[in-house]
Amino acid sequence: MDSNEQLIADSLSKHAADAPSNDHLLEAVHARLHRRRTARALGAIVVAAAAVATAITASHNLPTELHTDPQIAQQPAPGWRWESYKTVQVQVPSSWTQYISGPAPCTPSASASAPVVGRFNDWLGKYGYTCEDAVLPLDRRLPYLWFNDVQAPGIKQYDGGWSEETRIVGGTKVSVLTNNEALRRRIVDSARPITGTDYYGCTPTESLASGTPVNAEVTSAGVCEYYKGTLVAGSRLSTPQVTQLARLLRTAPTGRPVAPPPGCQDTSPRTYVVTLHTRSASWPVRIMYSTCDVSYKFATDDGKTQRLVGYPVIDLLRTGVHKPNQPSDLFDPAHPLTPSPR
Amino acid sequence: MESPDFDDWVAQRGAALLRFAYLVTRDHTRAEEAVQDALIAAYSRWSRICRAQDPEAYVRRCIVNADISRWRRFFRRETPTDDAGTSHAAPHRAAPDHAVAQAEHDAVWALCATLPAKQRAAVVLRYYEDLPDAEIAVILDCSPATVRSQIHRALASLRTAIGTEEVKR
Repeated sequence: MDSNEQLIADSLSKHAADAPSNDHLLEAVHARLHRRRTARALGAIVVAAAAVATAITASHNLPTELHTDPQIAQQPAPGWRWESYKTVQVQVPSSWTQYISGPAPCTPSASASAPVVGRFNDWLGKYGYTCEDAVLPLDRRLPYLWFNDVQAPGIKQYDGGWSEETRIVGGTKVSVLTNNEALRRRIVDSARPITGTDYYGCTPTESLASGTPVNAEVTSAGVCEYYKGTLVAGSRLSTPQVTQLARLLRTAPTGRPVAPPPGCQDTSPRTYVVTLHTRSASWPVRIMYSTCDVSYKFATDDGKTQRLVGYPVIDLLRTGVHKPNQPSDLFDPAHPLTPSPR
Repeated sequence: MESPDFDDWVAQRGAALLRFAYLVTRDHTRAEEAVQDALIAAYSRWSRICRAQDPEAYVRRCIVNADISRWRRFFRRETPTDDAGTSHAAPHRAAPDHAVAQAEHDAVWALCATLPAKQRAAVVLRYYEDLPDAEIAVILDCSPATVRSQIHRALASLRTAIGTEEVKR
């Protein structure tokens, strides 16, 4: 085996570790076999009565066979959680709770000393901002995971025992800065390309989301945030918020968008694809959010019906990862907040 | 020879089948669906399959065929996106550190996506499963000579993309 063949073998071995878990494979197979037997038995009975009804039954049952729960294969390690951005998802310790939008390292931490999860959001004037520092001074430095920053791939050593590793995974850059090499490596090694959906059920690019409202008790809800159709972040709502959100969406009146105020330009409109799950069904809802639309936001539940939702819905969604700090002083390249390059 | 119990066999081989399916399909959901579809197809004729051949070869063939059929249905080959293209560049070999090795693996993984489904399956069976030509031929339902040809073409494509010297086996 030559070096290229060895490289292929190594690459395949590494990526095989990302394969889905077989924890529920046998259950899933038997569940589908059971549904298939049930559908056939039911079909045979219905055929005797009406051939048309059989076709309807089959078309209703068979698509559900293909549903798989993305959570099953991707549970984060205890004390860790998944963070998603564009085409990659990465695990970070649950204590990394400070969210920031902007470029690393020149986006200073906003307040607390909690490690940072940063996203180089494209709407923050990516090409109008200059920041040449490699790292913040030691007394202002915090560990971070940063998505799609300007750093080149590789490992960089800094003062005070800090190091930063940048890797491209699934086409998206992942940078991790810590003063703990084992931790840095564990975070970087957890990075996975999002090949289908991420842990929260989000696709890298926005897909058509519509569905019939469900009346049963909603047990969980995944939130996928998109900017211009590209995944920015995914999350899962906690139980009280889920119940409240379901109630607000069910009671939202139908309506049409109002015209934005004259001259208002929203440079960062967001789309939230929220999927509410009951024990037996899912209800995907697409919610558009724009700062120009000061009174109502819009949700569609069947691809056609538009509903007006108010700030209570937006406030439920725009928390945590969906409401990062965005220091405005980053936008002045002539007077950077950060120290001179070293 | 007595057929192995279906459930025991799936419990024992399920993880390996999912890894194989994931390397071939490159997608979690499709891998799970392909393995489940293959096992469901095998379930109803389990005894007959076990009498005639190794059930694993049958199931793997179903997985590969499912992937090939999928591409035939959509009349297209998987191609990397622009973003992913950044990782297709020839990997830098000068510094054998952790990150460079990772970049190399990601680049090869991305290049494998450009191979036709059957070539990719042959590469996985050879370089991940380490199977001989004859066993790969059984799974891919072709001759050993065809297997060699498929792997040769795949390596040539990868070699061209990586930009290295001729790949010889």
